[in-house]
Amino acid sequence: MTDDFISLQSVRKTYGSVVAVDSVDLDIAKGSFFSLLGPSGCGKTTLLSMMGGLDFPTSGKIFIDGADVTKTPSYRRPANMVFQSYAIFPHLNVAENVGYGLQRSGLSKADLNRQVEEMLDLVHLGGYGNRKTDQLSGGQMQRVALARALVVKPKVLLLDEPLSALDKRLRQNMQIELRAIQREVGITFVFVTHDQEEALTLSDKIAVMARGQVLQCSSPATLYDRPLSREVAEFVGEMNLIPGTVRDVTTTGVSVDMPCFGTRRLQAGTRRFLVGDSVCVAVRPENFHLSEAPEAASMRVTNRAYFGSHIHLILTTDGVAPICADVPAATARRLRDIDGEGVVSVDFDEDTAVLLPGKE
Amino acid sequence: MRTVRKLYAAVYFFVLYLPILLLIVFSFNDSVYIAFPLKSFTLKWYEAAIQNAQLLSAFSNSLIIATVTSVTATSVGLLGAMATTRYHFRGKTLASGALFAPLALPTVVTGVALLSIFMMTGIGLSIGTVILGHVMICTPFAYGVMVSRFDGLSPDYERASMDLGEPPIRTFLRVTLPLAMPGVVSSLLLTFTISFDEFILAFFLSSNSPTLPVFMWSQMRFPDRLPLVLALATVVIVVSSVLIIVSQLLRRRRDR
Amino acid sequence: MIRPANIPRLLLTPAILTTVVTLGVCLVVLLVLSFGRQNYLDIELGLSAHNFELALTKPLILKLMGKSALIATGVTALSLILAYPIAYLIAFDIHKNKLLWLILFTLPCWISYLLRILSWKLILGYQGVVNSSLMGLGLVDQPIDALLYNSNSVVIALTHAWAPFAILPIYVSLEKIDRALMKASGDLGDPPYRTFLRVVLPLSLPGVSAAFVLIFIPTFGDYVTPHLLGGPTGFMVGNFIAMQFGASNNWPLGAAVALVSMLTATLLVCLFIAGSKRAVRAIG
Repeated sequence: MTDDFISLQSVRKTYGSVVAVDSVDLDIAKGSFFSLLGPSGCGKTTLLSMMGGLDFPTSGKIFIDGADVTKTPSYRRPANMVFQSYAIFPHLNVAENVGYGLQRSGLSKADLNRQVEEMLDLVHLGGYGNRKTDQLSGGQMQRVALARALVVKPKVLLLDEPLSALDKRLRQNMQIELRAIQREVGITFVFVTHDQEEALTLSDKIAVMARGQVLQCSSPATLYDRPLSREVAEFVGEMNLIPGTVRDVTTTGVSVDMPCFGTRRLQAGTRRFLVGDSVCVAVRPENFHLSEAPEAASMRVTNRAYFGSHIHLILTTDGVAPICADVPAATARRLRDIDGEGVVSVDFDEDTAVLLPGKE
Repeated sequence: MRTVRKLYAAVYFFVLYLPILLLIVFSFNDSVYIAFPLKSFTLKWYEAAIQNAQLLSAFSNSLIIATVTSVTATSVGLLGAMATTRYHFRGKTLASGALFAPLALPTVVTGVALLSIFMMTGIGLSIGTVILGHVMICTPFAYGVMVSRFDGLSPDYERASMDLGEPPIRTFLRVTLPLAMPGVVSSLLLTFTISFDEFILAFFLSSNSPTLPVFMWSQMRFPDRLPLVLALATVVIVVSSVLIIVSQLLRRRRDR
Repeated sequence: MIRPANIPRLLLTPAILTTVVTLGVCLVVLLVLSFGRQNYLDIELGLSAHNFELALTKPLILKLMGKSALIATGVTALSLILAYPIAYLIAFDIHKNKLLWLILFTLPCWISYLLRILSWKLILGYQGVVNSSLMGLGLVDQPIDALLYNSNSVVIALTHAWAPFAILPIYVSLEKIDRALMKASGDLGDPPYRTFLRVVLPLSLPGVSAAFVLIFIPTFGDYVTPHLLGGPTGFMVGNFIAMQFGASNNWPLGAAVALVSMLTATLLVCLFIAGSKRAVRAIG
């Protein structure tokens, strides 16, 4: 995972006065599972279409495996697509669908059939070749679409929200299977999704998009633990954003005055802060600890929801927006005040918190 | 209230088909007078029709005109529908509305206008001039049928085909055409029937190669030829009905 | 190399040529012709407004135009009234074989117009079905000649021919109405006829308007029906136009009348549609 296999340089796409994709630079490593994550309308599907040659950038360049493919139409690109709608040809059966892209490869009929069979086996649809496509379930359609795209041996497989139409159980199974298939064939996968959990589970690297721009591109762990902006912090997982003011800046960190939590020293990351800046301290719900120790901040429990492994609490105090905290069920049992609407002491580890600008 | 509506519908249905039914009944009646009571059953008007050379020539003219018209209008409509359902471009709404413009003109006006064009440019009237007129009024119908077919078809099928390595023309042949086929057949049948049955344009533009409706019109003036016209009319009505029913069933068939 | 951006225009070109361009040429030729003058067998092109003057002042032409408008209005109104309940029935009351019923009720639209008009000639004729039956039953002594060759027979035949055309567009707009809206109206205390007036009718107006255009324009300019059934009193403007291009041999006048009547028909259609929208809003 060293060389940049797919490279997008200042790619921009406009429809009339609407900017769908705005100067995106991206590098995707060979053989990786890469996700484009963002809410609907953020430009992720347009970006994917441009990688596949189903749409063309207004400006900028796209390279696949060192070759400039910016203007290459989809039928001459080594990239294949799994459509959100699957687009399984209704006038062909399963085997004909899978073999569709092989017809002009000059293969003998026997070779073609063998390759189709192999591919059907790979996606666990062995023996389904003669089925009509209207007899297939959503999950099976999904597999046919996958087999049809993989059989032509693309260098890149593009997947446009392929799991969004499946129910939750099936989706989780398909996620595992998709990852297994990707490892087996070793092809670079570019995966579009609006489901952050799905992106975190599957990907080697994730690009978070909004308003046609890439906000952050990093590994799932970095994305979750070290978001670069409030927007990313709030889109990926649940995040508490506690306002504060910078009191002091040194080489080792930044001191921030916070209501309720007092003055805390935090890592500034790559951003520069000045004394007096209003900032945001971002803390994940699971990074709060609750205790009965009197020195920490006192907050009221106003709501609680039981999740089996943990308990989700809404905590309030005067002058601060409500805070969400996840407490392990075992800890919760020790704190009797969590039963009912009691008062608890809340605290967080400074190295799990992220310092972000107050207003963007 | 519902019973009243159903009763009304029954009466409507009866009155709708009554004239056509009478026309068919009298074509088998052994009398030149179209009057009750009926005389005996006969097929002699049909025999007379088959032996009428003028009629057969008119029939073959109509067949040629309707065939060429339906193939042309359907091809043109198919391409037009692909443009407006598969692509975004400026002026799209305007263009797809404008294609229906020929229907906003009374046929008499269209007829005399086309006649004037041919006279002023010195193009002699022939089967070809009738075809031109018929293509003009059939294109909106073909386009309408094809648009409703394409609207129900995701453009992803064609995108998938291109993505799998098939260039546009092969994609058209392997995916677009097979998927659009019910619409194509529906449009062929519909435009064939419209052209075959069309009278006014053919009347102005056919000159000495009359179509079947023009031939029938010329015979209507002679009371003794009326039964022959009725025999012919019966054949035309039955065949038209079958073509139209098949066309409409295909057009509105829902795929999965 | 064809640029991708030009593909849709390329695909659309043949259709535009066979419809819009042909139509445009038709109108231009009529316009050119209408400013000319017939000189026996020759047509002298020019810039004379004489034909338009005639078309707008000659009592015969005005009378025919007025009668065409009257007949077309009557036929269209009758057609809409007769077809609406059928469209309603298919949309709301029929659940099985909807498609088949729709086809059966609209099938005659597509069958030879000429033959359908001819069938009325057989029915209403001097020795036609009605008269021969009445005489056979002894109800009348001699055939009633008032049945054929007047405006009434034209209206009857035209309505019969065009009413089925109204069913389809009205049905389509009725079918689109959310059934929950009708239930909601009933739930809010409107009796069925009020629900119809306040919910169903306004929402089906696009279909009614489409049907109006579909019927009014061709009946206004109709040629076949008045010729076969109209007799001297049923003569309409379409016949006058056709005559100028035939026996009367005054093409420029025919062209001018064709243009004027086309504009009149379009104008009337616009007026009627605007009026009906207003009327329905007033009811609601």
